[in-house]
Amino acid sequence: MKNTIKVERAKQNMTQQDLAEKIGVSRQTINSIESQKYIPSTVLALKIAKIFNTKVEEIFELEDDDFL
Amino acid sequence: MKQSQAINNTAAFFPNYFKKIGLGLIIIAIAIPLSAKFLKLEVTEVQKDFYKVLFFNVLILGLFFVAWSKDKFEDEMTMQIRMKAIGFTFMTSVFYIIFRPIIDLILQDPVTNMSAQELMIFMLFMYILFYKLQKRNA
Repeated sequence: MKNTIKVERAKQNMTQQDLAEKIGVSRQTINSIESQKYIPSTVLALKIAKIFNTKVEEIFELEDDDFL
Repeated sequence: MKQSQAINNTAAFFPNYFKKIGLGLIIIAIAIPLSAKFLKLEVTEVQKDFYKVLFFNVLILGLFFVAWSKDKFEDEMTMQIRMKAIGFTFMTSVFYIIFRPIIDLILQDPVTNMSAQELMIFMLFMYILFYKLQKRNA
């Protein structure tokens, strides 16, 4: 599953640490989500979308192999 | 970082400082028997068995504290890593129990039953190892 968190952070001049503190996770978790090593829970994805004032579907995108 | 926002079910874990207590217990459980052996202290067979059980249990307690203490910051990712580590630990423990007698046979060592303490030390050690490795690769 792809995501555009890095782009959204850059738009708002936000560091990984800033985003992590706002949503209550560690900076490592944010890094893992951005590098697609960890898929966040629904709650976390919704929180991220709310921080960036956008929809979940605009940040996270399913890929073909997610359906396997 | 707001610790209060950390995931709620970490209430089941020991506080973070228990890692240091656990490490201390592990050092004690290893250092004292090694020192006794090095100093060639004389003990009876009964005392030897008692101390063996005692120090194994201290080692198990130390490993348990290290394994089951919170990280400085726990969140959903660390919980998922813990669950994966428990799964891997269970699998490797099953294989260890099944294949250890076979390895003993191959090495022509006496085939003995594994004690519960030996299995528990193995499982705790494996859990800590898997957890640390997965956290590093996350």
